[in-house]
Amino acid sequence: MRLLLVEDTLDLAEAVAGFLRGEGHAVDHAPDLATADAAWAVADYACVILDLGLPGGSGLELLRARRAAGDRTPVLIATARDQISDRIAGLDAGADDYVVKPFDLQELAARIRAHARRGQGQPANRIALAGLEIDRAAAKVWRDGAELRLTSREWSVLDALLGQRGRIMSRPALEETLYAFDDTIEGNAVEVYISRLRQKLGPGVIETRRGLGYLVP
Amino acid sequence: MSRGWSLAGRLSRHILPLVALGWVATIGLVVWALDHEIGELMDEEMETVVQTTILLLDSAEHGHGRDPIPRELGLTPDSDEQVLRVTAADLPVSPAPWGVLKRDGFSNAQGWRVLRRQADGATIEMGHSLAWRREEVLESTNVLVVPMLPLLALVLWATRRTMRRSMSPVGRFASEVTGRRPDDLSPLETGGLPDELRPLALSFNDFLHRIDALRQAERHFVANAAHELRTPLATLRARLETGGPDVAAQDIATLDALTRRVERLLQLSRAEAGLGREAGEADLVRILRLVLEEEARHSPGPIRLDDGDVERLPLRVDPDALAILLRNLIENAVQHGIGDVRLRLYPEGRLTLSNAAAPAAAFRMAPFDKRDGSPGTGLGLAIVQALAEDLGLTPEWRIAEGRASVTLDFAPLRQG
Repeated sequence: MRLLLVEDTLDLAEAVAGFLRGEGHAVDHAPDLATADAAWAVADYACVILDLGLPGGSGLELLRARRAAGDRTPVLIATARDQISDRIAGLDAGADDYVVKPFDLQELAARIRAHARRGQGQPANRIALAGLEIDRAAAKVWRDGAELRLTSREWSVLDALLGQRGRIMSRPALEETLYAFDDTIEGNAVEVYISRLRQKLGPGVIETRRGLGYLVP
Repeated sequence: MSRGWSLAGRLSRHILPLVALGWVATIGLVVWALDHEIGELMDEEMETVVQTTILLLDSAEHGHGRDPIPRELGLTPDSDEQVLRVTAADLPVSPAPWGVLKRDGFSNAQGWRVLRRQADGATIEMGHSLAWRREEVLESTNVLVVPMLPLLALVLWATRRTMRRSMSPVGRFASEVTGRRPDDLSPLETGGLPDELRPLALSFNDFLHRIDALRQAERHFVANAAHELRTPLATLRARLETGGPDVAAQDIATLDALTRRVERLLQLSRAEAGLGREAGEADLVRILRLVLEEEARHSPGPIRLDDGDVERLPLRVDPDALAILLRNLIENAVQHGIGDVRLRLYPEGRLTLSNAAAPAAAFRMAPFDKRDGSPGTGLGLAIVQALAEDLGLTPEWRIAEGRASVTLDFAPLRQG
């Protein structure tokens, strides 16, 4: 899924973004308020990880402005402000979650997945599909009790389709979830991942609608 | 302890007797003057009567030959107030309340004031009873003094009232200072204060401003220190976590322990800087749930809350201080307890927290006091104690029947 990481401490941002990319997410990094506002306005993010103390203003101002404009993107505040009053202010401003630095990256990733699922209107963790058992919180797939190994990108494609289950996702929409602004999009990447997924998951999981895109029934 | 004293009391004790004494002295002086003047007036009256009698006797001699000189003229001889006696050498002396006088002029004799004058062949004696003269003076004094007594009472009442009204700014000033909450560092209102008190209030305001500035600086420092420490710790942790298989999990655990220690030290600094005395309003139920949500993520065992169906419990406390207090209590129970942690909230504001405890368990309140081998920082309950005191709470600590518990009685605000 595509994420926006708003963090002004570059070392920390690199480490967090690197970890999330390793989890298969496309991560855009915004080091200040203006960049974050611009990125948020044009891209459709599954979740925004938002620091509060930013060059150019407070992350809360940006959050309030987006919420006032009707944006429902899940937002997870990740900040060094550890007081309960800051947490309450963040939640009241429209944040979905609040983590205090330093945080566990695994836990951060789990929370992002949970909020992204809720943002897609599918809060259930476990899904049974065509003989598969899928745990979206743990990013794992089993067939007959045996775990199927998926790469992070393969999981991202499957997770994006599961998030839009029953609806067709076009190739550009899938690319949007796989690539950040600075990534180079390979021409047939989506087709390659779909093909690999079909091989691993078996038939009946991902369907192709010619000229339109893909869907998980 | 010595008994206190009040300016109003001291002024009353000193001024009211002085005013009363002044009035009494004035009245005494007036009575003395009245006595003297009435005496003079009566002496002049006696002189007038005697001289008139002499003239009468003279005219009687030259106009109509030698008529017998009357024994008494005008005034009855047996009066107990005024007597006039006229005697001649060839006539018997009529009786009088006083004896024989040897010389002319005024004299006091046998309770009478008498004026004696010699005329040709006669002696005229005019007497006033001293008792009567005193009675006359007393009557005049009564006419003067009796209306003055209520006037004196009125003056004393007005003086006391004026003193009280003059002292009322002092009372209001004292009430404003003593009636303040400890966290209220706003300046005192100096308008309406007398010139004697205004410099005191202005100096007091200067002190308040300096205390507020120092307290704010201390808090900002702690808040900034928390922010400045947490971000590099977060970077270090993220790097360790993404550092690959070479990074030992123990390194991350050490870093987490360091983070907790730093966090506790900063919390203790906040508590000692008077965070608990900050003004504010907090919903105990919401804060309890937020704290529990965080703590439950890291707790190895269950943390159960029975909220007693209380949806909201507003308190007049600083929310951050309340959250730190609750977090430390829960973490202490999780870390040092040996079983589940239970919290129960009652509608009247009572919160109890309990956990299964080891047989040798004890509450260690002093900073850095911890049992040997404890993974804790030894600061949690010291932070709780400091904050509870500032929040006006008296935690009830108890270890009995294998469970350790603490009870806090909050004072909920009335919900309108």
